[in-house]
Amino acid sequence: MFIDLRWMIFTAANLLLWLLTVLANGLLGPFGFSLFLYGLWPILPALRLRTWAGWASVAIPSLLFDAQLPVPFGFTFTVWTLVWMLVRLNRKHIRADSLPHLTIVAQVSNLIGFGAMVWLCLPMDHGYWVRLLADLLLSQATLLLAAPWFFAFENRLLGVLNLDIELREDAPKK
Amino acid sequence: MSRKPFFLSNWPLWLIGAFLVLWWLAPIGWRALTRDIFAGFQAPLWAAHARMSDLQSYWAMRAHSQNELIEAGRDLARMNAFKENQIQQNASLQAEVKRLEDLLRLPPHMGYRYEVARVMRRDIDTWWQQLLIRKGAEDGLAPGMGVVFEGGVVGRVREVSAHTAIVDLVSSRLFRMAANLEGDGRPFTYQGLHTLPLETPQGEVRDVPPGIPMSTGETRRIVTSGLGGVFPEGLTLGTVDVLEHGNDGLFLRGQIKLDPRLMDLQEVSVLVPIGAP
Repeated sequence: MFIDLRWMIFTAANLLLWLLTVLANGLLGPFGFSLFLYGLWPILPALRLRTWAGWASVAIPSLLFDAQLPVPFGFTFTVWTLVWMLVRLNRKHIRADSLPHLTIVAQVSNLIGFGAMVWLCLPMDHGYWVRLLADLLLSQATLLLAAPWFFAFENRLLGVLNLDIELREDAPKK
Repeated sequence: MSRKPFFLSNWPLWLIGAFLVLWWLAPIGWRALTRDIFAGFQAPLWAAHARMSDLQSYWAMRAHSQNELIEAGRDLARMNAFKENQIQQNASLQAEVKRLEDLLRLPPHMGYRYEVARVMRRDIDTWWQQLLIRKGAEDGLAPGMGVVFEGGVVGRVREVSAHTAIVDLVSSRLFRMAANLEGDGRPFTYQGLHTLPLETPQGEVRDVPPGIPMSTGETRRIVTSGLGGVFPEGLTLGTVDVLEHGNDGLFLRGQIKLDPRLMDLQEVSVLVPIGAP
């Protein structure tokens, strides 16, 4: 049975993104802003990895993310799994080698994740909507810069470790 | 070659979809257990990261010049002298309280032990505001305990694991408690509000009894009421400038300005009741 060990690289990259986002939010907190960049998590695992390996590299970071938040455990895990499935089902229409193309997909993915959180935390005061809009705009703008960097970083990581970037579902099984 | 039907060509995705359905149908206990495993697994990683940050700060401080260190030492010596004086006053006041309790045969006043903890992580974003601190059940912490800093109330412990704890900040929407105006014993409800961009953290008070004397332009301090036993009375929550009639037209409500240092805390103290297991 072929086991695609590249999922560990993608899991590590997703965890690094989480750490950097937490650090950035710690710095932005005193100014009343925060970033939500987790829409980057499911994109390349859905396009580059086999089904189970891709799912593992999205499921593990999202379950770790869920474990310390006041949300029903498994909520973001479910959201990112659904986004990952959506990308995977449409992978023939997405150009995995084009950074602008991937960035647009990441924008849509991030919007879905953000929307899911809004839906979960609906009954809020009027200040919530102001903060929400500011954070959404800042997150999507930051994503324009962060997405190409993150995807290039993931590809570079595979390159440095001499792993095949282009291996897909239909690759010969050894 | 004939094409496989959609269902067969994507069977792993259907299996994952079925897993998600089962996930939400599974007993809550199973999910809670999985949650504990994932929370326990990541705690040492965050602790290691926090220790690395501390080490980084240490080496950054090593770069300070001798003159800066001399000035800091002098300031610290002044502060220590002032604190020594306060400790002596505190001891004599405690002796007086004890004498009055004995005289009036009152039950002993509830005391707290201050468990100082470093902040490992701050989750301050659109939906939640919480801190992860480097003390846990092994240090006597339990859910529901109050957390304070030099500026007043920080929040309340929500979850505890062996060596870490999660604290809901006083500015979090999830934080609610009884409070009162300084110098007025009537309690009302305090709740955190969302921090607006480029503004200080804020909260709101509701169900404030009418007739509280407050003149225009006056700023009053909101303090803990001591009800519930989580916080001693008189700790600062924030300040209020205006109290207006709420939707019911009977009680008052107002927005509270919280301490801006809440968003940048490095160290906090957990109030552990004396006698707690």
